Amino acid sequence: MPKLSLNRLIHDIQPLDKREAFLRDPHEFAHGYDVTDAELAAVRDSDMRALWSFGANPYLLRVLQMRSGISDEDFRAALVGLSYPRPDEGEI
Amino acid sequence: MAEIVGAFAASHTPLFLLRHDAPAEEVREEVFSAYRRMAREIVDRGAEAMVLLGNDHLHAFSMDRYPALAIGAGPRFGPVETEPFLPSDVYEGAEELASHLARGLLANGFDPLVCRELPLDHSFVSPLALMGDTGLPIVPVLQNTVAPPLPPAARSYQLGVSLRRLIEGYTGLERVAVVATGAPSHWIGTPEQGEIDEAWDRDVIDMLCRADAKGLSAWPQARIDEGGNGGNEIRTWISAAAMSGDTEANLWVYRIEPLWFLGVTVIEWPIGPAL
Repeated sequence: MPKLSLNRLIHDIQPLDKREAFLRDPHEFAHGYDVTDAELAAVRDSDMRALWSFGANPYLLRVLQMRSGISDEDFRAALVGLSYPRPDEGEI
Repeated sequence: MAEIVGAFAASHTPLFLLRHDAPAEEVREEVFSAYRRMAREIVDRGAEAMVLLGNDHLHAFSMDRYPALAIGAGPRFGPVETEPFLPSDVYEGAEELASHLARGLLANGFDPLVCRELPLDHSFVSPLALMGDTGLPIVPVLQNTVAPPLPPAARSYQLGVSLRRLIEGYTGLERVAVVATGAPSHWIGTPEQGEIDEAWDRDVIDMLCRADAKGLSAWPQARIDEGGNGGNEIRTWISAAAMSGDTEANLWVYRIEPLWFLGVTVIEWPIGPAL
């Protein structure tokens, strides 16, 4: 399931060393994760709006925000017009 | 047989550590002194262990496999490595008490994941850091508040009732304290991140102060969602309330601090008869 794979990828790059390895070669790191090119790019670029639409868990987005050095203001600006919970929140 | 000598709830956030000195001095003094007071009360009442009710923010567990309920039953927890800003402390585990609780929960219709090793994140470490070293071993008990589908809040009430009975049936210690961490309203990693809903917070706190944790546990998920994804952490408060006998809670602190994304709350319950 792509959503779980996306969340697994974001989860797995939480440690700083894993994040560095991912950024060095995202495609190599993501081998074995069932994520689309668009999802991989969104993780690489810390594209919060895209990741929200792809179903990334918010707590993982928060960690990604912090690791990427994105300010709280820029984070909220990236998600303007959206709201929690998402329509599919709660679905497995 | 052990008795519960204190039941408390206290907010948690990484921002206590990341933005420790950012709020005004009066805010820091009010909040930090409440956590120190909680620790002092726990120690002064002779507690020999602390049962900590918290959660995991997708550090120990991933979305692939996330338990509805987990209990840390190891001899120690740490050094903490889940989040780089947390102190890399080691916490002694109250291993025998944890094993007793795990066996008892299984016998009473719960299915906890029993963790011999369990990485702890800010859910536990941020309030423990503010409390200071009590020297007490801990039993972390985690409920799923982050990875849908979430267990209904009513389950948290039942969990608290069961934990109370199990603690009182334990002969290895005489006095145990309970600290629930998390909540009230907050939004993390969502478009609303940083917002605080004081009215929602007050509704939750008022119900607990009116000894109506059971009523709170009947809130539908949609009502809980109004408090943000972080509002799901009221489950730990509900459990602590049930462990106290659903008594009238005393509000020690409710302090809105936008820099911490929270209306920081510290609550104490007097211990009444078991439910």
